[in-house]
Amino acid sequence: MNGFLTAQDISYDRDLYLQSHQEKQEYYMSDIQVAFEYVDQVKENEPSIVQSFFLKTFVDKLYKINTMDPAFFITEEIQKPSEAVLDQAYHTIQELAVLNIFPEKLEPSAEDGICIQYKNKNAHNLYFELYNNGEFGYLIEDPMLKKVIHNEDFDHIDDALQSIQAFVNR
Amino acid sequence: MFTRHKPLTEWAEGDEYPNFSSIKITKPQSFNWSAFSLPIWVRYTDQKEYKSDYGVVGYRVGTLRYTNKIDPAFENFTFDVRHDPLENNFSHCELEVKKSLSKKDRRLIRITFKHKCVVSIYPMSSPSKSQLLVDYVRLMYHQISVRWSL
Repeated sequence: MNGFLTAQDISYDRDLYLQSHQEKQEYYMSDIQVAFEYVDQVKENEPSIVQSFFLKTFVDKLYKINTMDPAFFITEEIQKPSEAVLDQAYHTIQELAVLNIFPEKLEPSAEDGICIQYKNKNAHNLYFELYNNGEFGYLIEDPMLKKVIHNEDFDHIDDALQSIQAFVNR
Repeated sequence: MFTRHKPLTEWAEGDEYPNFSSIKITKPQSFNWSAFSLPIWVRYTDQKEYKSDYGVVGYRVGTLRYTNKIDPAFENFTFDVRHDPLENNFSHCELEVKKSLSKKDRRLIRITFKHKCVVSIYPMSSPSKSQLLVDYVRLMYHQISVRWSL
């Protein structure tokens, strides 16, 4: 990272910006224009207060699960969620929080891993489970009718995120 | 068959049922046989410690055994319940898993068990005297029917 506005604690990747603009053959941009554009972009990508609140709440929850007394997992006869599962859970929460999609609950799963619950406008629940063995999948229920609407495994986390997004916007 | 769930982590305050994430079907899952136990007795641990804030739910044995009703893809007796009396708990039973299932199938069975469970005692609450009386009458009725069938 470099830039001449570093004195004001504003830094930007000048080469990256100039390169993308060069591709569009816009060579006329001055360093100041580039810097201001970068600052605007950073502001756009900053999480809102609501996003920050929910992110903090659920990241704290993940941290709590990670630092839980091992006796809890021994008593419950379940495995502690692995580092990989905690990372993927964090990735899921973060990616969806940007889209203003926040979990209802986050708990260790009885199936060894993490269970993240989302709700949509129809009051349907989606339980997204990330397992220690590397598998993940979700189940959607209608709690009023006590019916299962959908139950699916995924090969890639991005497919799961897209499906969760579609569920919440349904 | 009665089983207990820890408040908050396994059964959130205000929720009608225990959390889906806490429904166990593959690990040693203990129950109290309703022919020999009141729902409130499930709150006692094997060390005679009373967990006053735990919630208690009941399952019909048929729900656990006849999984074919959940989905025709599952065979009946994928699960069974074995009476396994303990020193301090004659009614103790264990869920036995007879066939291996994928995570997807297990999710389906777990949610069905959640849908079919009957709430006996909500977490952080105590049953009223009239409820205890009803539970006692049910216990007696169940005990007579079990002894009659033997």
